[in-house]
Amino acid sequence: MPEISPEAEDLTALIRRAQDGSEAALEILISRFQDRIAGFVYSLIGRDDAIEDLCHDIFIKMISGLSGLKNPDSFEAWLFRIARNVAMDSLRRKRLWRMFVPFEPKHEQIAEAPRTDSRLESFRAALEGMPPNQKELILLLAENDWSYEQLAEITHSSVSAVKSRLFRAREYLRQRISDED
Amino acid sequence: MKIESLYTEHQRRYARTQLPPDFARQVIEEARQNARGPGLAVRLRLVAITGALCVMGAVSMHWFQMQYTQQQNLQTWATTAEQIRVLEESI
Repeated sequence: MPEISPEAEDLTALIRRAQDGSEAALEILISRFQDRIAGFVYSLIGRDDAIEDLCHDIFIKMISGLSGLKNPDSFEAWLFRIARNVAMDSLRRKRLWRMFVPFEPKHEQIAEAPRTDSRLESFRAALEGMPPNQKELILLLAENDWSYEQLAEITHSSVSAVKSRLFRAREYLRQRISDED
Repeated sequence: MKIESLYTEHQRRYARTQLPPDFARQVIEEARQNARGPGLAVRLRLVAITGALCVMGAVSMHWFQMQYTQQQNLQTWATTAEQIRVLEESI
């Protein structure tokens, strides 16, 4: 039987192997998703100093929960749900911390990714002004073409709440971007 | 390409630089260590030591409390005895 390269191996088979305890499969799985998860976390929290730690937590949680995942087809949604929860917890902790230490200088050290074209800049500015529960939906949809049901599952909310939040988020984005144009 | 996808790609490219090259290996190593954790014998020993320390703490607190109360009683009694003596002399 010809050997399958790590890049080409089917995701379902990879998950099955990882569930059976293969560290090699786990390593490929993490490598395959780490950039997307890191990008998602970075977009959600808006700071780069915590990306590595949060990604560590996310993948540790993934490893410990993987054996309980019954349907490998839902792996991606499940992983993004973990990532979303970890990032949101971090945001909540940060907010709580700022209540007690409001003027700590490091609070101002929010990472600024290298400047790019103006369209990206206006999109970034619009996203930053958006409530986190709307922002996460826009970011999740940019990652994958999730259904409303999947989005509701990932964000622990109802389908109707997702629809209305998404509608408001898109309206807000449209308005902000057209204002800047 | 949609602006959302462009933005995501841009963020991903930047975030990638924040992860070490052997990130996956590090995570697996940490997960392995977490899974290993302390064995049952170690955990039982830890519980026993904590229990013993608690008992010792409670006993010594009780002893110090007793000593303090006794000291207080003796002082009060000394004052009262002095007052009785002065009273008797005055009579």
